[in-house]
Amino acid sequence: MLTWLRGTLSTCSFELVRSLTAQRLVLFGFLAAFPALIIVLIGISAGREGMQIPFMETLIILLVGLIGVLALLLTASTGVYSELEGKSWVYIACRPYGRVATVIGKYLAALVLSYGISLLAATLAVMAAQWRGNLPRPEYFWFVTAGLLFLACAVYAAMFTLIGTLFYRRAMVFCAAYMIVVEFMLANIPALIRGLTIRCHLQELAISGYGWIMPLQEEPYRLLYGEYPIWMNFTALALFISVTLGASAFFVMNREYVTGDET
Amino acid sequence: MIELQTVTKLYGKVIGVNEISLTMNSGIYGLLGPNGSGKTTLINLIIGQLRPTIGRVTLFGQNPWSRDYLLREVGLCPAMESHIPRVNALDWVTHLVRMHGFSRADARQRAIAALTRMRMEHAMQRPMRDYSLGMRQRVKLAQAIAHDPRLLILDEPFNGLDPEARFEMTQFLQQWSREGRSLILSSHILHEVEAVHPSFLLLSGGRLLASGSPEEVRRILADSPNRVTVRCSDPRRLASLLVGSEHVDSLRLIDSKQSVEITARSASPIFSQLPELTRSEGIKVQEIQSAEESLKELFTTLMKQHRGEA
Repeated sequence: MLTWLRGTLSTCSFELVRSLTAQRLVLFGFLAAFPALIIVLIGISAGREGMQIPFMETLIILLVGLIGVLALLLTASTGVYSELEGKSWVYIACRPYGRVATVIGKYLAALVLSYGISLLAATLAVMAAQWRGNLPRPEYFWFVTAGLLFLACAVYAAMFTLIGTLFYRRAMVFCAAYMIVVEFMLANIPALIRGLTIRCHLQELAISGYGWIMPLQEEPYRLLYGEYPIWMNFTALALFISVTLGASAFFVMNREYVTGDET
Repeated sequence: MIELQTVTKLYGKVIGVNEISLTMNSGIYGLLGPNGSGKTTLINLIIGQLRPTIGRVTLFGQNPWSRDYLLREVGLCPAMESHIPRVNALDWVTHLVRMHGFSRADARQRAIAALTRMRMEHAMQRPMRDYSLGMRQRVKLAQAIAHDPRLLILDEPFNGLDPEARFEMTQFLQQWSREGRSLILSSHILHEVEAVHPSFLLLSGGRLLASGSPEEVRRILADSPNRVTVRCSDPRRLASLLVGSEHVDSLRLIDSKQSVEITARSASPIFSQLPELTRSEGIKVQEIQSAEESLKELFTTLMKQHRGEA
């Protein structure tokens, strides 16, 4: 257990240090600044009247969410493949519990990086929106967004880790496909199946957290929102994380990753 | 230490290793075979990175595929060159040692000790992308020994090394064997492996063709059909003297008739005859080249024997 834990922490810190290159910092900086930039541009072109509260809040959530997903695609999905492509997998695999430690360690590093980027993006976006003075409770909005972002990064990073472990050669493509098919299309089906998507639970937590008032008695809203109590949303997200990470560990332990140099 | 029972490994329809059975007790082993003979696959089976399609592998008495902790006792220096950008050797080796369960401080100390042993103390803080092939090889070896394993496995450690680095590597391996620790050394060049006096395992086409001590392998080599090239002052005269020898299969003048190439069923009698013949006829020998050091001939012979053709 101690071996595994030390290996995991070592992988996490090693990956974080390795990520801090000028090239990556510029990319991460651009990602973090993107939502604020869009909001400033809208603010300039549409003026104060064009920056209504619901629109502004929705825009911030959408843009910051998008940045979080992009950051996760870059960091969480390619964990196994980057090691195989760099031919460094064999060094990890010949360590006790090295495969699992690498997958979980890289998950933690991806979580730290993506959360850091998206939190910075949210902060800058809230500041940009405040520049036009259109958020009534900016601190509270930021606080709820930060919490939701953490949950979203933790769950999606775990899901991308699993996808990256299973389909390591085309991990980014499969992750993008998952986001479109499951988290966009399936999550919009007004049926029980949407409870199996991450977005469903994050969305319900967002409604509660931001205190949005939804006409839940009316037909499309009744089927799409307010289906589960909050504790169930948290439990579902925790289950998503543990099941996907558990499955990733199982697959990485029981799969032969053959490199091109086997002779 | 290691036991393989009728182990076969298939990559789809391609055979990696084919029905290998062997027992390796603690000691020094040279895993010899041409490129693509199954050496790396065999190593990966031993360390539990691959699961045998058929058969059973045990390492220290247990199945390495399902017993990850066994890897604590193994150090592996793989053949392939890995791409580890923006990292210096000390950080990389420390990270890999930490993965064996050592604390950060202990891991760093071990990494420094191993890199120093590999004479990398002056460059261990530099990014690895700036290293020469020999330096990278030394770092690879450092990560394999830093956690003090019982068994060290080196896959083609001499690849790409210059003569000085080869000498240093040989010295290190001799020192390791003197310390009484186990070593598996995979190579396709006989004399490099020979320097550490191992027991040999000869692989070709995924099959274990022969195994034994250096003397036994020498005997097989000596009895193998061989080509000997002699560059001398009078190759035509030497050829005429050898033509009647019952051991000689064919003779050919090569290198603009400066050398004579002798093909013999066995090289040993030729080597016995040559000094007497050249001395008595006053022929000055400048160079003798034998294919003995090339494993190709040996593997061809062994493969033929294996198929019942020889």
